[in-house]
Amino acid sequence: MSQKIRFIIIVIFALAVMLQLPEALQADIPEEQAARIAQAMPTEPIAEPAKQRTLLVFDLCKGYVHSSIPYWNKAIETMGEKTGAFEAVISNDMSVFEPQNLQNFDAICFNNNTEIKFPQELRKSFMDFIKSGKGIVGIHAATDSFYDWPEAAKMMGGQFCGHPWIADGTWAVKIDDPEHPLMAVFEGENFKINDEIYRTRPPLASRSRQRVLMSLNLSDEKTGSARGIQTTDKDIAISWVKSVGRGRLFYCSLGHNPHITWNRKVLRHYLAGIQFALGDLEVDTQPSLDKVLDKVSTYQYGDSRKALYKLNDYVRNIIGFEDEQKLYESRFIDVLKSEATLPGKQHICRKLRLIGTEASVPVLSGMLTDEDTSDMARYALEKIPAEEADKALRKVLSESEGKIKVGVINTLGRRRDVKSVRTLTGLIYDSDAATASAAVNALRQIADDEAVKALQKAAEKTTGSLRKLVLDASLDCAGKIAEEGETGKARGIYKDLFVSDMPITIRIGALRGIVSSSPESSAGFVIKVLETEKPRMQAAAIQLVGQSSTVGNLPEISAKLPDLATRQQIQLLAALEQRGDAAVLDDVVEAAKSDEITVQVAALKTLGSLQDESVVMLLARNAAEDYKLRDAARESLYRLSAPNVKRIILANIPKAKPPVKIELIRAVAQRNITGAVDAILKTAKAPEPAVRIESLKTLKIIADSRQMPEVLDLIMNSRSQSEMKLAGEILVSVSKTAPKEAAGKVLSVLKSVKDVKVKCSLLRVLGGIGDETALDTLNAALKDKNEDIKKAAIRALSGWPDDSPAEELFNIAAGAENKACKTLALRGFVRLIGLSNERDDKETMQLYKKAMSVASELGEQKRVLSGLANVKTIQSLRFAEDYFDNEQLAAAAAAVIVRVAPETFEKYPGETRRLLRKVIKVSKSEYLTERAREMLDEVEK
Amino acid sequence: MKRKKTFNRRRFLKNTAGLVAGTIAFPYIVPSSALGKAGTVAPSNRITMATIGAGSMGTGDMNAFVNNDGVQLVAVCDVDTGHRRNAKRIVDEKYGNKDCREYLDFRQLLADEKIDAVNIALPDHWHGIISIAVAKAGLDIFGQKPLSRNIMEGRAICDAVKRNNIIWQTGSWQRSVRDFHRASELVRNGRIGKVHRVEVGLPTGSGTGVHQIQQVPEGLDWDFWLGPAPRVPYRGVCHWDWRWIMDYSGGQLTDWAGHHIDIAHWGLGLDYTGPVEIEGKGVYPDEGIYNVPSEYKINCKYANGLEMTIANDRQLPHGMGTAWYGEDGWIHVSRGGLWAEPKSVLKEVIGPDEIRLYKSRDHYQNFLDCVRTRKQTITPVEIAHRSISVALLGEIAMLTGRKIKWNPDKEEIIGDAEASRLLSRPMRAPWHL
Repeated sequence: MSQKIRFIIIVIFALAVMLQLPEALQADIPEEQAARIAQAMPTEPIAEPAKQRTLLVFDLCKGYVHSSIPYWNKAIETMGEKTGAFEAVISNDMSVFEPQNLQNFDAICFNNNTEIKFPQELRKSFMDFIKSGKGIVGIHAATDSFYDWPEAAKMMGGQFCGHPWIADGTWAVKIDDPEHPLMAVFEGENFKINDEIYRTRPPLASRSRQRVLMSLNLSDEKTGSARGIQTTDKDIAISWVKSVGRGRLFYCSLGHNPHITWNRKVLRHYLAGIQFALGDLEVDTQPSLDKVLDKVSTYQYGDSRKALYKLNDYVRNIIGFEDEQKLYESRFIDVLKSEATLPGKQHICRKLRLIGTEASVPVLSGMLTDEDTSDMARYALEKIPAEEADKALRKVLSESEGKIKVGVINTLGRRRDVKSVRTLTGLIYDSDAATASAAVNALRQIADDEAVKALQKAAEKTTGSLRKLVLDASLDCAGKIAEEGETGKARGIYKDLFVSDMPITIRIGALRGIVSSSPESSAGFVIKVLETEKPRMQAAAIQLVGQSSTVGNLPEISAKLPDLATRQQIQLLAALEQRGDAAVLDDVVEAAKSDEITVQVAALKTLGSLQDESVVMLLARNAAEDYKLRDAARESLYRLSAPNVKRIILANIPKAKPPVKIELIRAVAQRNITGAVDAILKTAKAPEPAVRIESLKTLKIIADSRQMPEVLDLIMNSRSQSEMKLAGEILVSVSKTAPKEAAGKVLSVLKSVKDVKVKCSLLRVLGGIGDETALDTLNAALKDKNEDIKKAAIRALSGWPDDSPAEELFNIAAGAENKACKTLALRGFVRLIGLSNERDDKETMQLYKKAMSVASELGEQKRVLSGLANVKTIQSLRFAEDYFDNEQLAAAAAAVIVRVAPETFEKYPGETRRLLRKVIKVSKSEYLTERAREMLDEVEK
Repeated sequence: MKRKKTFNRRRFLKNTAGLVAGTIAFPYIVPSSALGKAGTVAPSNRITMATIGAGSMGTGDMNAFVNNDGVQLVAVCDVDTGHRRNAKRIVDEKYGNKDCREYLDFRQLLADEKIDAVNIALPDHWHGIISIAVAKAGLDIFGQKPLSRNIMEGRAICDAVKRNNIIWQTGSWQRSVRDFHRASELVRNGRIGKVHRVEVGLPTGSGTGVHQIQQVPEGLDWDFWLGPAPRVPYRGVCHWDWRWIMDYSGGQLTDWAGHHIDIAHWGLGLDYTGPVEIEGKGVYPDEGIYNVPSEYKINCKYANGLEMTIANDRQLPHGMGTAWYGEDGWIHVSRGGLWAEPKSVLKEVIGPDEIRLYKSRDHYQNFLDCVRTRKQTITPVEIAHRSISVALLGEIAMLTGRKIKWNPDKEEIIGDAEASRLLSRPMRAPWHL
């Protein structure tokens, strides 16, 4: 075309533009943005144009008008100018598609056109245009048209159906085809982008029809959970190419937001796509699926498995899109028919297991008869829900032998193919043992009337291990029959299988069947077994009593206890324990008096579950009187659930003899009996020390802040050091809900206390309460002349809940003359600075340095170092490093490094590594060097 | 690839820190001195046992039994001669004789040995066939988790155990540990109010690396090892690392489901049911022989409205373990601790009239006790089936990209023909369930 004619066309279009366009499109974009576009634009073409190319940029909208349209017009125009790859002609006039006009262009770029409709008379010429070897480019909303023209929609390779990935969001994109020339600019790096992404889906958008170059990365948390996302949104392609006849199509979903037009990488992607559409850049347009299948077809074990995994993804993503599944299946069938490798075919069969239909049956059944492919064919065939599959399997059943036959039998069994029952029945008597046992197993699974009869008959005609399989299969069938509600029929089979000459395992199975299918007579049956059978069968019956609530009439069964051997008595008691039925109480109580200690233990355990309060004192006495029965009796006493247990325990505490009393007091704690405080406060003053101590232990659990005065009293009047300590602990524990009140009470008593031991004890209690109102008193006590009081104060402050007494403790650690006080204080100081708090790491480091400066002994130094590991900073590492040279502290220093290193790797990789290497060199601990080495290996990998 | 590297590193460093802090308590082995309370057991009263699968886990379990006075271990079975020899050596050294018998084929063992019980620790794809065969032989089973490689297989194991009246203990030993028992009991008794959400954190990661075809090592019966799984040549991946290949296992997800999902169910009284809706997303490798997801997140709903999220630890606020969220607070339990908000929850006493969960403090001993008394163990087979079912349904959701609707009573996927196909798996001949 001459320049002149071209000029005229352009002028006409320009006029049209000015006359018709809404203002938004007509308006030029701001100069500043135009400059950005120009600056970001490539200056070279990707491929040298074979000749002068003209690209029609069409921007008509009938629906939503994207504000990015003028930006794209500008961008494409600039792209043509800067790279020389083409000249852009912009239009929004449908007449441009008239044949005489179309022929002026090498390709058409749809710039965000929405809902445009092609009049009938223009359709053929348009399709001819592309099919004859020209190109189409689509930007973003280019898939939002052709709703009335399926052929064109299909050509575009997708149609808009929503965009959960809205324009404000930033979404993750994965490069699907890093080697594709159109993707070169991305260098294989996935990226995130702020833009609106269109949802397209099968059948139009499909990897079986086009080459997808990049898509949304839906495993990215945000991208995969965008608002409005649907479960079918499994594969959202962003850009693709395809061949249409001899022509070429390139589409990219990016470009809703104007800023995309000055995104350097996206622009280069577009340039490549446009040059491909224009015919200057030849690229592979083989659909993604076909490309992957080509690779799968040549796959050998040991090769790269990328293609297999890609195929897995593709198949997962089309599940639920029925047409697409069919399309995939037909491609799979082609592969199976081809000369593809066996490993490749195996992978295809794995996929057909999921999506295969009757269409695959012919090719799969062809593979069934070959030993190399039979198993893989069944892998798919077994799952294909079509009568054809059964037919094919049945056919092979009669023609094959050996392993193939066995496999086919197994699959027919799994499919519960009733039509093969007759053949399978014959195969029970096959001379090949594997075939016979497979047939029996298949009949077991099919389990229809005919199969059941066949098995029953076979029980008489087979021997040895095959017969055992047959009997076993019959048992299973009876189970299925019972499940279907025909209990009478099932029971008949069970009874036949229970007769005494049957194998024991079969009889046991039958026993269960009989018991569970006839609840009303089950107890009688169990009793008969207990009376007449050997221990193994008795055990089986007893097990059923315990586990199946269908066995009723338990007292009749428990009455048999005395007649049983020890082992079975224990078993029956365990069964009764599981049932927890109080009706058997008398028999169990009797068993608790057995001469056999093991039976006694079992009986006592059972009493705990029978929910009968009458055994409370029996349990308490047994716990008190026989150490061998103690654990069982106590456990039952503590877990016994019945209405009056609490009342019985409390009523008996005053009158019980000391050992039993102690058990009852323990039970109060274990059962958390709250209303018992008064009773236990009384027993806490009992004449017997053991009763007092047990009472104190119980009070620790059941007392609360209301009992502070009484507990304080117990401290003041303790009769032994250990009771004083226990009473102190009770006070600390009841103070938790009212620490200030508790501290106040102790402080007020403390003033008048003269006894040093009591005083020390109260100071420790103040430490345990940890209320700030006690700090002055404790600090004063630090200066007490009495060493014991001083130590008690140090201990109290060392246990403080926060670091407020840290300084006081440090002063003692630094200044005290008494060695023991010094050590105690330092230990307390290290503990307090190790508590997590608001202090920054730097300051904490200073405190550790201070501690180290006054630590005079090895043990103290080690303690400081091990505390240091709480500070997860490089400073800790550096500090610890100084102690590497000290042979006795090297191990502690190495431990600090190994513990802190994981936290310093990010920021100080070099130094951390160096120190870990030092650990390996210096440390004698195999454990530490091993850890250090592992860490180094991992980061250096 | 870059991203992956950092994440592995982080994971590792985190683990290392945990190790140093001494929080790893696996495997849980109780000193034999704690077991021998009842005194020495006469040989005639000992439970006779065999070990099937003598890899690291199987040998660990076997050690616990060999060192228990109440057990006489008489045989070991493995398709790898090296494993078998090693196990026999351990047993013979313990008993001071040469009597421990060796088997390559479990069928031979079942035919020849007159024993009471076995412990089974095998790659998951073998669990169904062997467990059912052992159950049919009438032997009690200490079986490692996960129960099965697919749901129908798990159901078949449950049926066989039940029908043959055998005792089954699953290797979900956390139930026999104080913290887990305590946490579950607190939750079960409403100490954090009505629970609306539970989070289950399992480990992150999978195997990596490219593997070439290799000569099958001397002494390993590779075809037998593969058993029902599709035939593939040996590529150096066998013991231990089988768990990263979907033909044999489901990765960390299925490896750990029997621990922390199990505990989640326990605390909620959901031991005998399952979710009704399952969605899942996994990050699958794009190269190499290992194909289980390295990262995964599964969201389930139960019939009572409860939501459960199962994910690799990096994706959950509490990381590893089970965390229940109720109206009045939360409880988080993992190996190495028990935490709650409010903290006072942990001081609560469970009274005698409340729900008391099965108590065991020694998982192996609990099994042996139950073998003797015929009582139900602390982790019977159905419970194991229900905990792994959640993970297996999650796996199906991830593999199909579908929201799965599940009927836990009938154990059927509702309205999804493709997903339903993954409920069982065809087996290579001659193997069948």
